[in-house]
Amino acid sequence: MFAPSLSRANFLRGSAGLLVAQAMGGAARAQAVSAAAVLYAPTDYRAREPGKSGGTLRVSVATDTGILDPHALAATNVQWIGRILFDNLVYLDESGNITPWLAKDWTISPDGKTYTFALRDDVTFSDGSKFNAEAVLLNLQHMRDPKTKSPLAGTYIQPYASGRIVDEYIFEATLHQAYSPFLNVLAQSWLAMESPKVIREHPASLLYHPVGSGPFVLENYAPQQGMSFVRRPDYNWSPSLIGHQGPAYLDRLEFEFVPDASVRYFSLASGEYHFTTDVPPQAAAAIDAQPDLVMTDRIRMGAPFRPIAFNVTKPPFDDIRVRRAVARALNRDGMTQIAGFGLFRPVSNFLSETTQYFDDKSSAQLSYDTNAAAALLDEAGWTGRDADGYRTKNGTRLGARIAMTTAAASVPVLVQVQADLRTAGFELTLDAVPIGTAQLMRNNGDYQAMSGGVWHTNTPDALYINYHGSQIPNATHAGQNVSQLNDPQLNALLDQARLSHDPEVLKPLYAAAQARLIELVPAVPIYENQTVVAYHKTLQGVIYDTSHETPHFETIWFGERTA
Amino acid sequence: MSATDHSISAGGLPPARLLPGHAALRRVIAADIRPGLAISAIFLAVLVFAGIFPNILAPTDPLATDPSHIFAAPSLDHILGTDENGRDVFSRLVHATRSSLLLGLGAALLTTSVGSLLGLLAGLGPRWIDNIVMRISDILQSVPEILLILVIIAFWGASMSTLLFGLGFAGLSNCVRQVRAQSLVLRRAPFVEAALTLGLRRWHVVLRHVLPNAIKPVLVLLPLQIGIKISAVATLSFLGLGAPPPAPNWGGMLAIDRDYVLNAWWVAAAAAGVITLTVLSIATLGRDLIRRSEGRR
Repeated sequence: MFAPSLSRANFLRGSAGLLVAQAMGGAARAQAVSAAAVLYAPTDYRAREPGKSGGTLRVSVATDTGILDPHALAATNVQWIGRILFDNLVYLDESGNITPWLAKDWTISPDGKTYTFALRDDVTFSDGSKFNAEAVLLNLQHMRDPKTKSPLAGTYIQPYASGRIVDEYIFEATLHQAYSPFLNVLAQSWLAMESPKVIREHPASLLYHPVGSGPFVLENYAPQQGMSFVRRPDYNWSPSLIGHQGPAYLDRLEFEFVPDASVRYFSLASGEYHFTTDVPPQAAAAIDAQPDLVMTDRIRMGAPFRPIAFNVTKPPFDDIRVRRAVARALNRDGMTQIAGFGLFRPVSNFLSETTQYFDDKSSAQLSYDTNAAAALLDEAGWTGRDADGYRTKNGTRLGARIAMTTAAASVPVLVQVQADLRTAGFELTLDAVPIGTAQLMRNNGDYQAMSGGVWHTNTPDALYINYHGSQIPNATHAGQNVSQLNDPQLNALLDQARLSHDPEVLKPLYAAAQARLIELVPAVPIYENQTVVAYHKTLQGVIYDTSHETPHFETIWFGERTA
Repeated sequence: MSATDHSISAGGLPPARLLPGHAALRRVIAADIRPGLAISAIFLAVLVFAGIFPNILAPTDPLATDPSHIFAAPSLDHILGTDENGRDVFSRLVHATRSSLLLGLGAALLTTSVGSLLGLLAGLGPRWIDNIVMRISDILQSVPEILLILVIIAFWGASMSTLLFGLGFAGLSNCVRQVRAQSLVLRRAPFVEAALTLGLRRWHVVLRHVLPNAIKPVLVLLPLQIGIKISAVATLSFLGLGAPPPAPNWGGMLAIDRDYVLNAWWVAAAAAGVITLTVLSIATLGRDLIRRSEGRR
């Protein structure tokens, strides 16, 4: 019996530095050793014992992605779809190193621009077509094809220039410039390998009938209702790291979309579903109280949740002191409680704690301190007070408008941001705008602040995506730098980091970039981006994806009391 | 005949005689004020008071958050508990009263006044005006009211003024049709024809003789309209189209708590209870007015 090793209780009790990871159900205690970062135990990522075949797993999911072609997807939190249907060239290990999957081996040229992959020769897609160098070439082209409208995969391999079929199982990729996160992103679920036959013959069908080489095959997809998958009996090429080879244990997977948070909880507790990929945090206490349910919450790599992103080019946030004051006026623990009900973990950095090269030496500069906030606003000249208690300068009230999309799930957090800022004498007005309007505002840079979100990716290059000057959104480039930050020093650090594969070089570069961002405060990080899943204790072999911290379904099996 | 006699002897005794000695109660019963009506009237009086003086009824700041006490159960500190931001639910309900009542009343008055005016124009004006007004009214009637309001909000954004305008605009056609139908009848009524024959000016006849009679059924329906508009306001805020946060509103409280019923059923229950009671009370009052206007007791 093995379950996720870092139980929630321990997770919360863990003192600032050292977290004790406890293997639930066993006496073994592993220590997640790191002065700062949260690390999960290796057993969370590797199946430890062989399981029993058979059974149909019923799973509830919060949202429907609408389409199933991973190259056309950007949806967060559902990367498990990719692992069910597809395989990738490489897979990460638990410390972020690259390990083989469909690519057995690879070499990188000294200038960092040429990658040569040696591919497995025993892999087939479920439509019978072979996995080979041509398949890789077609897949990379498909990600880049404007017709795919790839929101993520295409952007992540932007430096990819061309590919060459050296021989049937040797593929060579050439990049425009060195790009060290290349292998990391190739390990991500949304950059999986699809059938070359379908890509060549009718690529549009991939949206609803994706064909991959993964452990399951899509049986049915009913938008807004659910989807089902059946096991592929001849599957035998899992990444060796997950500790399981051969076909998946479960015969069938049945997923149903259950958008209502309360219903997701009740239907799990009642046994209608064995598993839910989206536990509403507010149900944490109720699930904890049930002895036959297991719940795990895991921090995802990338950028944590930032409820407010400042436009650093527009007043009042063009003044760095005002940005710092806002950051220090926010009660991070309070907001984390409001959103996470004890499940979420506060963070004061622009990278999540589990991301490689996370460095929180300067995090204290963003800590909650109302006196520091007041001093900064005084220094910035906002010393007057009006009848409503807001600060003023030359008769103008200190305030700003924040655009939030109408469907913002984080409204209670934004309400708390507003309440904390009101205490600091800052009037924040929440503007609910339709998503189309928000897009236009982003492209035109026409806003004082935007409600931010999370940015999950399996590399510290998340900083480049979110804050490099080249990533400012405009009409032709859907960049993520909504803070409109263009700092030469930060740009240089992030550019250099893309050139090197050497940990000794990368560590100080990313540390400096994090320190610089904390100094510039383009947004306020509040809590970690976490996935919370829960399932019935009869389920065994639940392990997690090293890139996404989402569950792997191929290793799950039913223990004694098969429901 | 004998059946009728039976019914009179069984239930038809004058109620006052059943309760001798209670003069006050007798008067109430003599005026035919049913208990439901009395309760409704009291509840509405409390609501109006809450709308005018929310701070007296609920001195706690409805916007004051407390992250360390989210979803606190009802207690002496918070008689209806706290919400997702640790705000006092009772205070938020009370402070949301004013906007609900004002929007309901304002929208109903807007519908009634504009609708009556257009109805009079259509009923008494030249044929071409009648045609234009009635075709527009047909178009409006073919679109569900809530959809119409959604379109208006989508164009001009959610704010008090768009909500008021949207709510007032929707439901206009019913009012137009009623007043038009009444005025068509009235324009041929003997007393109107007599007034015209006597040489009174046309507009004078319209204002003195047609309008008051044409608008009577509309006025009787006004309280019902207010109730309908208040529940429409709640519907819109439930859909997230009401006043933007952090302003409290009943529909919004109900909507947000839908995701948290597990943690705090009392927020949804309290908000739903207030909405239901308000609409029910106004409807009770309205029906009583209709009954009386029709001469029934």
